[in-house]
Amino acid sequence: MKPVYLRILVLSGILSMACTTKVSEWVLLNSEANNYLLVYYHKDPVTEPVKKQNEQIGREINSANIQFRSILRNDIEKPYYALIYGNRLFSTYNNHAELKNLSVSPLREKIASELMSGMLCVMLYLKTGNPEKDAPASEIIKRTVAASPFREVVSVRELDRSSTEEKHFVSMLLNVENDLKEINEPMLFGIFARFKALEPLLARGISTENINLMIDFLTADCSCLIKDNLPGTDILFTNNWENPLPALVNRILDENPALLHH
Amino acid sequence: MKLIAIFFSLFVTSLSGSGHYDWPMWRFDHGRSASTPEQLADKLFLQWQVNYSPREPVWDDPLNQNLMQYDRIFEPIVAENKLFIGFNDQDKVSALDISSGMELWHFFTDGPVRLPLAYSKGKIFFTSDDGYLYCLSAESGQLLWKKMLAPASNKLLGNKRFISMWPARGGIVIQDDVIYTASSIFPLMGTFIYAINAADGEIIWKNEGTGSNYILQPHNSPAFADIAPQGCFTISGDRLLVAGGRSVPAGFDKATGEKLFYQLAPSGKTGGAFTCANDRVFFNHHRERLTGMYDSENGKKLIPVAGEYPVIEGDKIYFSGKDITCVFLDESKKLDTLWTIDVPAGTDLIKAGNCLYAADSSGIYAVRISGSGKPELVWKYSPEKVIDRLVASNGKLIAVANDGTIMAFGDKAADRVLVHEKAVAGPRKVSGKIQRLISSAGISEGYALVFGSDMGLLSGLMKETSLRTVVYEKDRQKVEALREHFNKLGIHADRLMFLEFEKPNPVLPKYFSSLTVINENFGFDNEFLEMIYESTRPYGGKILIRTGRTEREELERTFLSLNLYGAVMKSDRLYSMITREGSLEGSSAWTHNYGDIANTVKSDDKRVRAPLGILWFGGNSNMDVLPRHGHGPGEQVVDGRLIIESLNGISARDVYTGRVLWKRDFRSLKDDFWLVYYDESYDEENPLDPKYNQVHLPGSNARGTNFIATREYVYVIEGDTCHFVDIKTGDLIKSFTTGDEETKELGYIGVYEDLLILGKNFSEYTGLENDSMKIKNPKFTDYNLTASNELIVVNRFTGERIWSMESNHGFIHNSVIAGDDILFCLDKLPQYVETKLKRRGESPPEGSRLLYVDIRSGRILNEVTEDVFGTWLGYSSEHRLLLQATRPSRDMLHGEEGNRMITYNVLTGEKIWDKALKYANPPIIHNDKIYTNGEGFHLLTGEILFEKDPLTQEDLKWNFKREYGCGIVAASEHLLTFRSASAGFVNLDVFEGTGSLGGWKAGCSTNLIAADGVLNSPDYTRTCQCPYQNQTSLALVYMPWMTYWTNSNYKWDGKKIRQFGLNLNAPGDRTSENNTLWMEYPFVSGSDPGIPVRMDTLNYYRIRKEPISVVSRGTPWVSASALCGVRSFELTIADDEDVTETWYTVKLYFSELENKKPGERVLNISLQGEEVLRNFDIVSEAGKTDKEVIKSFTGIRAGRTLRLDLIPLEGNTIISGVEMIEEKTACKY
Repeated sequence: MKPVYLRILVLSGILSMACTTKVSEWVLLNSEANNYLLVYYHKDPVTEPVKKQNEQIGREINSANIQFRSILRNDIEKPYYALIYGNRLFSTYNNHAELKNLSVSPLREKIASELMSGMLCVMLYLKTGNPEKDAPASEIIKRTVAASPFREVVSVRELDRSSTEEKHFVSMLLNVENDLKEINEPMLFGIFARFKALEPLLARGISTENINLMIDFLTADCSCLIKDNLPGTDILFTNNWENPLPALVNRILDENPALLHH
Repeated sequence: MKLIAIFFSLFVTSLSGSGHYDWPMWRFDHGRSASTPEQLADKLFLQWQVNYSPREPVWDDPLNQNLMQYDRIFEPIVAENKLFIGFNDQDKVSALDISSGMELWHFFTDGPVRLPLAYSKGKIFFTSDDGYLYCLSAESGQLLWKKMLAPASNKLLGNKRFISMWPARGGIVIQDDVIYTASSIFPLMGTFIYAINAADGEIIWKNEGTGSNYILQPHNSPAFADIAPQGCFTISGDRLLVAGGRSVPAGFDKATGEKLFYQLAPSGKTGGAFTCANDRVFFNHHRERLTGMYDSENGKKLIPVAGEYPVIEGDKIYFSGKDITCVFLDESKKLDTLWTIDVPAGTDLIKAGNCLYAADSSGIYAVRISGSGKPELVWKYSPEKVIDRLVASNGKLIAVANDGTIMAFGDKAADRVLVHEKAVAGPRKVSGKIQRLISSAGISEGYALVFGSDMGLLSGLMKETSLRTVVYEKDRQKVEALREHFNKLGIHADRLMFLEFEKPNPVLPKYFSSLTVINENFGFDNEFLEMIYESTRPYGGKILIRTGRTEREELERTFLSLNLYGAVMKSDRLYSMITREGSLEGSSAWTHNYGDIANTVKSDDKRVRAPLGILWFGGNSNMDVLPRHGHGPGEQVVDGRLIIESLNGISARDVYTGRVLWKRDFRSLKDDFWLVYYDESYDEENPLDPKYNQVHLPGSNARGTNFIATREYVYVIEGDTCHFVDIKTGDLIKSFTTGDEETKELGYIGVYEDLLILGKNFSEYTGLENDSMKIKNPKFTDYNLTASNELIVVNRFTGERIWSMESNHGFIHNSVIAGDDILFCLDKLPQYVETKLKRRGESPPEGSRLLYVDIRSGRILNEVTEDVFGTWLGYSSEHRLLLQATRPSRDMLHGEEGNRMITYNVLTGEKIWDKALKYANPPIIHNDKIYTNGEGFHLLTGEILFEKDPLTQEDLKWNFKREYGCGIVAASEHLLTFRSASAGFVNLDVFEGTGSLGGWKAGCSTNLIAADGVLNSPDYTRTCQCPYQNQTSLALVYMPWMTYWTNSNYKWDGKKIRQFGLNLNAPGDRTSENNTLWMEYPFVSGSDPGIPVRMDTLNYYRIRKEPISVVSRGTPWVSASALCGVRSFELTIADDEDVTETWYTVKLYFSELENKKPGERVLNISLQGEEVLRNFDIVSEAGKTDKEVIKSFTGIRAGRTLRLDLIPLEGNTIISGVEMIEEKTACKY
């Protein structure tokens, strides 16, 4: 299979009259994350303790890309919380405790901080927990990024699928496509802008060519076409996305014009 | 104090004696206040009534008709006890006695009178679509003077009428005996705004450079298109508010004509021709009868929706509507409500003395406002008609109904109400000879030209045909008599128009006349015959020349000597007949969704090239077109017919006139189109609602077209049936079905020579139902409408089935093409699915293939299974080359990224090249090049296209810029065309950037198609509410004298400039015939090219005229603008300090644009510090003002800089352009 064939298979249509801002930078600066919706479904009137508890939840997620509302439903047996993105139900939660750290977690903070510091993207490697499956792909990722001219602006982070600390994050990643939860394979998510996760490379799809194509997309000139059809799913996170540091990729491209897309 | 001054002014200008007041212009005064001091009687009685026919408004669709209501009904003015009205169908102005309604006089014009009239000091003023401002005696109707507002006498078809290329639709406003008006409604044609002395017609100022300004259009995207004057002008304080037709008005300095503001883009989806004002704010049309309130100082919106059309009495505003509301405009320009009264004023409201008069479908009401300011209903009248306009003047209340009736009410009950009916007779009997003559031509529809009058022939044409006829007659008195005669018969100018024939020959629109008759003794010469032939419609237009035998022989000799393309002559006892057969030389058709069955996205039309001017506009409605953002199939053009689709059917229009030829509805087409070309966001019922109407869909970008136009039939897919529609008549000839029950729907359709290729049943790609991308954006992931399961090839005349072939996955519609008897197609999964599989490390399924099939037999000639990708094929017959690609563009399915192209040698089946190329348009195959949306590649190598930098001659990557606009780029031989804010193009013949055709909105779905010698632009903006200057269909043709402007993202690289022009105060760039790229300076449009220019000035200012106003051999667009007060220029022509000096020819361009007389402006000129010209007097040298003078100096040595000094000896300096061309040969020291 020739590399040129592979090039067509991932992302990125580039308008020739595109703006010279790169995709990753443009989206970080201009494209606000889509909101999640957290719904408290209840059958009976909300009691004072639950009301206070919900107010507490509201405060906790106040700065994140999420809205919270209560909805009365007669067709449920007991109250619960539901996390919705677009028209899709991501997860349900039985109580306040299960919602803890819904919009914050250590890894998400780390990733956000890297994005705000001008990194092109964070390659998040979601491991299965099975070393036989995880190790080969991990090696490909490391080798590919290390060989990339953009290695300084691409960071690689790993996350175990069974992480308790990052369970909400894992859940959201596995909702990026509808069938990921059923696929027990290593996955590589490109995360960029205001915490947008691209559809993942998975299993044998974690290849040097595909990783480079993902980088290609993020380093391409932005265009109306990309803006119209921006891929990826927004991850829920509490952050102030204003005033990020300048994109580091521009320096690399300035110094190596040959890397510019033609 | 201001109010007193206004009142005094009104008293002086409007008091007509007996304590009554005139109503001298539309809505009474220059502020269009609709408030007069005239005090009518307490009770009013109907005294007379004149019944005219209802008016047919100028524009064709509901939104335009709402935004521009200026000729929707009669708009009377009143003065000297007379009522004056203009006619848009009879092309005349009439005066009626206000006491009786009897007509006192009428005056015919050379075009429709669409805008309201104005009166001042015994004179009536009005404009006409003929491009003139007229001044008549109010007493007698005698013409006192007329002034051509248009820059030339050229004609075109506009709104189905034969009018000036620059129709005068600036509705006159008069203040202090100064008339303000304008001509031209399309900025690309130039706009001309005037202040004219009402006493003698002398021009006080003329603004003619504004139309070309590079300004933000709606969507905040720029183009060369400023205000397009259309509608009644208004005065607010020292501001002249120039009506913008569909947009908010522009503010001009009333004293100087300088444009002060035009808030086109910031105002959003609002605007219209109606404006009224006091001296601080103005109210402008929004929708229905609602208005927004704006600051007259800067044009900024103060209140988006203030109320319905108001009456203005200083700072007291009375809003009409379902009730009447009185508000007060306070110091901070806010409105405080004073009172509301429940009296309906749904159609009009005026104030006369202490009464408000309101009109509504229920009647006319008078509301008296007492001294304390309280309103009280005092009178009501209930006519059977809907009154839409009220006027109070000279003791009468005039009411105009929407059916053409004018009623007058006075203070006394009439014994008998005088009712004047306008009786019509009809043409006289037609002789057999004339009948034979007409029938021998065989043309009964369209437009006709007649030279020399023959009553019998004209009666015959009126009786036997529906031809709209223009008659040229040499005798002026005869013209008047003919107008009188036919007008009395009820045959009006919109059907039969008479014009005086004067030498030099009239400048007629090209190609418009289906039948031209030259009557005996009219005479002809070569020039005349050539002109007539040029105006004759291709594809069978006829010229009948009625001659005697001697004259006929002479005619035949003359005709043969002219060697006219396509002309065929035959003679009869009564006449000689020349037929213009076939197409225009060098023209070509555009069929299928992408130009032809080979998907070249290119028309071979060689006639359409820059500069372009308008051939016709208006005359058909966008209601016969699909909603814009559904991106349904574009128009197809063949043999002079433009075929376009609507929700219910299909229609044909004449390419050369815009005339609707036929429409055919299909019962279930709308069902087929549901969720394909429109969806639930489409609101058919509310065309005036500014809400977003019809979201973007991939439409035919993904599905492909469902119809194909050919010379014989239009083939239309409806469900499982393909209809054969006669392209000449619209008649349904045949309907084809496969005959098997398996066929649920037909998908693909294409025509190759005598074969019709159909796709049977859409391929369904399973497993996508729950895909996350589909859930996120279902309308852009419906791959199940993009391919057909089976291809069936049938004889397209008989319907006989020839062969069929089943797919493995699906024949992708955008890839089914043909050429040189081979059908090519891709049988594979959608690109998105393959991408997803690859991302997951899975291989595409077996069976994906690229096929070459013998189109005659269905035999597979070649089956390619390696490197099968994409969704697009294109074919170059010239190079026997097949191009494989994707089809990326806006409003396309997910996954259609343009990252790769492959070409194959069709003769050998071998791959020629395979490259990773980025592009974002269906690849255009243009001879040996591929063009996309800004990128160019060599077809034979795949290499990126370079051209020569026009300044430095260094290699430069070919590209162009494009501002906002959906739709793809389409090509013809000389141009790429696309929407770029307005309409845009790239001239492929030279380097000059992206050109604007400013003044209307090109289609959101691709509609700028060069075919049949015309750049076709059918209005494909249905459901668009943006206030572009015009929203209409139009066609453009090559007009060498026309102006256009371009801009680009060109950046100078600092290398030595070899050839360059600075076009001073031009609105944009352009390349001259000698390949000099002339850039505007100062750099105002687009990006700065980075060429340092240092300029020393004293008493500096800028001037710009329209190039048509300047006499020049080839560069009026250089000499029409200038900088004044420039003392020196220093132009950096190389970055390198040590660059070698070379020799240049420097040409300086001048034109006396300020009307200076000889001796009033004298200059000395130096180049590089050496005097090259002494005592240079432009006007003396030119012999007249507004004439170009070029001074050329050779052997000018220049290294890093070029310096020019202008030393004024008399008056100020002026200069239009500086051109420098490096000399090829070494020059003397």
